Amino acid sequence: MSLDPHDRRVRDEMAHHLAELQAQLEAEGLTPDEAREEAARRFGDPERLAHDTPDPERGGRRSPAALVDAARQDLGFAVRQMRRNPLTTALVLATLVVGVSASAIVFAVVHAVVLRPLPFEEPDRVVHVGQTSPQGRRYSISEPNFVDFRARQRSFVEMAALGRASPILTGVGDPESVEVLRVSHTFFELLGIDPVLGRAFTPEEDAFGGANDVVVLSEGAWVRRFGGDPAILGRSVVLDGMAHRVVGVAPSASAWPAVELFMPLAPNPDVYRDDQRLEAVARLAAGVTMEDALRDLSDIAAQLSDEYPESNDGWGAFVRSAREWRIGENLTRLGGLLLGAVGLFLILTCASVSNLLLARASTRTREMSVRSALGAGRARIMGQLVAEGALLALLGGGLALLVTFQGLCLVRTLGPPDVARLGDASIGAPVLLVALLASLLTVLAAGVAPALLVGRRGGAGLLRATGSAAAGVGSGLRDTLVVVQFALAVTVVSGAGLLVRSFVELQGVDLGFEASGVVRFGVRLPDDQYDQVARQSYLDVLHDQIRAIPGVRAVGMSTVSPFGPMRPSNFVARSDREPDRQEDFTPVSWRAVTGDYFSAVGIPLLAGRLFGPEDRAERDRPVRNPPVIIDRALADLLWPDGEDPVGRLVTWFLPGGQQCEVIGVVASARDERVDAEPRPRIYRPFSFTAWDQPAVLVRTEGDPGELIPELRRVALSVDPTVPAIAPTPLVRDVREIVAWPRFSMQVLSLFGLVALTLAAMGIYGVTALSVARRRHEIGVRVALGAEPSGVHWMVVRHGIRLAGLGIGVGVALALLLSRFLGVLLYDVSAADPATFLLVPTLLGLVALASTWVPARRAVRLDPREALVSE
Amino acid sequence: MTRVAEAWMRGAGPMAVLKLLDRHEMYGYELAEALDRESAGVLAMGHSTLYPLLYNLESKGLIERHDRRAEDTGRVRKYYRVTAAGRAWLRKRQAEWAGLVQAMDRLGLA
Repeated sequence: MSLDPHDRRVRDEMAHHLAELQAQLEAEGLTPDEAREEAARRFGDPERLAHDTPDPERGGRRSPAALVDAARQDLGFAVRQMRRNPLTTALVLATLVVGVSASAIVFAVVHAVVLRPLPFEEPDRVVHVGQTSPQGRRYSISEPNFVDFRARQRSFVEMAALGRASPILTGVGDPESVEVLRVSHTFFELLGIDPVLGRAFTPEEDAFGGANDVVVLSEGAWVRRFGGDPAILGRSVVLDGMAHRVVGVAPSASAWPAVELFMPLAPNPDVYRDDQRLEAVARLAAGVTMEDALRDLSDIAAQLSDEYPESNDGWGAFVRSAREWRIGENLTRLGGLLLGAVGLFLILTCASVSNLLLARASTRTREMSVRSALGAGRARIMGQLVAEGALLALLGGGLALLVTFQGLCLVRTLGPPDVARLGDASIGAPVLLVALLASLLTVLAAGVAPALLVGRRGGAGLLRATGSAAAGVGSGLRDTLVVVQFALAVTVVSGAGLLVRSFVELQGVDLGFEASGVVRFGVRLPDDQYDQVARQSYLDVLHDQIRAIPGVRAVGMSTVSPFGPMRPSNFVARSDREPDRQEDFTPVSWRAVTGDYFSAVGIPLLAGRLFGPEDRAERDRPVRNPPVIIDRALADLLWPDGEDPVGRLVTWFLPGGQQCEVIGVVASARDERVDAEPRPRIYRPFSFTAWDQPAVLVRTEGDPGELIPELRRVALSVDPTVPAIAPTPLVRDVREIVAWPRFSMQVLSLFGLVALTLAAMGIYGVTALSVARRRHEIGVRVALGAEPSGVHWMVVRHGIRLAGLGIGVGVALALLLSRFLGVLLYDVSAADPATFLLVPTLLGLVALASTWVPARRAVRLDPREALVSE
Repeated sequence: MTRVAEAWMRGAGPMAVLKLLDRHEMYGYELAEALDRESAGVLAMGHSTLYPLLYNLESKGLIERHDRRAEDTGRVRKYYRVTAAGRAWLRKRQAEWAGLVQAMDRLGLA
C-alpha cells in the first residue's frame, strides 16, 4: 500500500469513479458481475493513472517516499506488461538469451585462451629464443649451444631452457607415463612463478652429474595423484625406476597446463651441438628491446658458427614474444575473428530486440501519448520504459548467464584438447561484466527507440490514432533495423559458409596413408635401462607378440607417430653434388622406422624396396652406405628430371656427413599438418637411432578400439615396467588435428543459424505490421476485385525490397571482412564465388518464406471486415 | 458529432471544465457525464484524460476540492469547485476565445 498521501487520494478517487461507472452500467440493465467486468474493461489500469499524476500540493514534485513508490510501481507495471504480452516477452528474452550467452561463451573462451596475459611476471618482457637454420627456419636449441648463449649474452636478466620428457611414474597407482618439463634452475624465478610449497631447483641440482634426483610437482598433480598431501615435501616419487625427492609444488596456473612434474634440466655440454631438443626463454633486461636482443644473439650465433663450423655453420638466432610462442599467431587470429563475430552478433541481437520492442511500443503509443499529454512528462515515460528495459535485461541477462555456464561446461568437455588454458574458460569477472553490459546495452538501446518516438511526435498527435495509424509508428526505424538484420545475417552466414567449405576441403584431403584400422601407442625404454641391443630385442619380442594377436595385419615402429607432438627434422643433400656448405642441404622431415611401418600405416611403396632384416645395423657389422627410403616429394626435389633415385646416394645432415643409399621411394604422407603440403621426408631403419620412446603402430582387421585392452596386456607381459602409453585409434588423432577448424566452423555456423532466424523474425514482423497498417487499403483492393497474386505481391514487395537492400549491404560487408578469414581457410578463396552466390540466395529465400504467412493472411482478408474495422 | 483534434482539446478542455464547475461543484464522474452530455459528445473526456486535467487545474489553483458525504450512497466523494483565480482565468480565456471565433469568422472559417 502506498505511503504517499497523494497516491492514496488518487486511488480513492479512481475507485470511486469505477464504482460510479459500475452503478451506471447496472442501472442500464447489466448484472452486477457483468457491470463490474465491463467497468473494469473500460476503465483500464487505475494504477497507471494514480502513478502518473502530479501531486498538486507539492507543485508536481514527488516526495522521497513517492519516488521509491514510483520505482516499485514501475517495476510492478513492467511485470504486468510482460505478462500481458507473453509472445513479445518470450521472443525478446529468447533473443537476449541466445545473443548474450553465445557472445559470453565465445568471449570467455577467447579471454581464457588468447586475451589473458600469460601467467608470468611482466609477461611482455619474457621472450622465446632459439636458433635459425641457414634457410632461415626456426629451430630448437641444443644443450651446448644454450650453455654458450647464456654465458655470452648481454641482453637478458636471465635465460632458462626447457625440454620435454615422458617418464613412467610408478608407485602411485598403475605405471603411467607423465608429462614432464625439464627446466633450468633459473626457470621459475625468470618467469616469476612462486612455488606454492617448498622451493625451486638450486644451481647444484641443475648441474650435469649433480644431485638431479629432485622434482617439483604441479599443483594439479599434487592434488590428483597425491591427494594434496601437506607433507609432500621430501616424499619420494619413482620415475623410470629411479627415486626422486619432491622439493616443491608449482602453481597450476601456468602456460604448460598438461605438465605434471618439473625436473632439473642438467644440460650436458658434451651432447652433440646439433642435437636440438630444447626450448629457451629469457627475460629482457631493463631498456633492452627484442631487436637489441636479436642483434646480440645473432652476434653470438656468428661466433659459434666460426668456432664450430660442423654443427653451427650458417646458423643464426631468433627472438620472439612469449605470447606468440605459447599462444601462437593462428590462435590469436582466430580469437580476433571470433570476437569480431561476437561483436556483429551482439549488434544483430540489439537490432532484433529493438525491432521487437518497437513493435510492442507501436501498440502502446496511445497509452504513452495519453500520459504524455496529461503532464506525465517525458521523464516519467522514459522512467517507465527504462524500468521495463532493465527488467528484461536482468531477466534475459540472468538466463543468459545460466546458459553460458552450461555452454562453457560443454566447451571444456568437447572443445579441442590441445588448447592451453581452454579448461580455464569460466564465468569470471570479465565475462560477467561483458554479459551484463551486453544485455543492458541491448535492451536500453532497444528500449530508448520507442521512448524517443513518443518524445519526437509528441504524445498529443497520436492520442486519437486509430489502429492502422498506430501500427505505422516507428515503421521507418523498424525498416532500417530489418535492413541491418539482413546485412549482418549475410555477413555472419557468409563467414560460416567459408569456414564450412574450408573444413569440408580439409576433411577431403588425401592423407597419403590409411588411418582407419590402426592403433598407435608409445613405449618408454629409458637409456639407463635399455641399451641399443636390449631395445632392439625388446621391440622384436613386442612385435612378434602383437603380430600373433588374431586380426592383426601389421606392426610397425617409428620414432614418432603420425600427427604426434614432435616433428623431427634433418638435412639431406645429393652426394654426387658434393655438398660443402650447409645451404646446399635440403631441410627434411625424418623418421626412423621398422620395415613393417609402411604396411602398418598404409603408405604405398612406389619404387625399390622397404627395409628388411638385412638392413638392420648391428654394432659389429657396420654398413658402408646405410639404407634410406625417401618419399615422392623428396625424390622430386632432389631429382627433378625424373631420374630413378633408387640406388643413388644422399649425404645425411651436413657436409662430410654419412652417405646413405636410397633403396626405395614411398608415397608422401601428410602426417604432420593437414592444411599444408607435406615436408619432404626421409626414412632410416629403426635400428639406426637411439630413440628411447618409439611409437608402435598396429593395423588390425577389426575395430581398433577393441584391440586396445589386448595391446595393454601384451605390452605388460613383455615387460611389466613398460606399459603401453596412451593407446589410441589413429583416426582420433586425425580428427583432433582438425579440432580447431572444426570448432570455429561449428561456432560460426551456430551464429549463422541464429542470425538467419533473427533476420527471418525481423522481416516477418515488418511485413505483418505492414499488412496491419494497410488493412483498409487491402480491403478496398480486394473489394474492387484485385487478383490474389497482386495483393500478395503488394504486401511482400516492401519486405523483399528491405531484404534485398540488406543482402546487398551484407555481401559488400562480408567481402570486406572475409579477408581476415583468409589465413584460416584451406583451399578456399576468401571471395569464394560459390559461397557468395549461395548465401544471398539462401537469405532471399528466407525473406520470401518469412513474408509468406502475412501475405497469405492479407490475401484471405475479408474486405468487409477490413473496411469496417476502422 | 465527431470528436475534435487533440490540439483543440487542449484549449477547449480546461475552459469547458471550469465553466461547468462554475455553475456548481461536481465530483469527477459527474463532471465527465456532464461534459459528454452538454457538448453532445464533442468534448467528451475519459477518466484518464479528465482526472489528470483536474489535478493540473488544482495545482494551478484554479479549482479546489473538498470531501462531502453523498446523501444517497453515504460514500465520501471528492467535489471540485472553481476558485476566484479560476473565475478570473476563465473570464480572460473566454474573451480570447470570442476574439478567436470573430477572426476565424472574418476569414470565412467559422
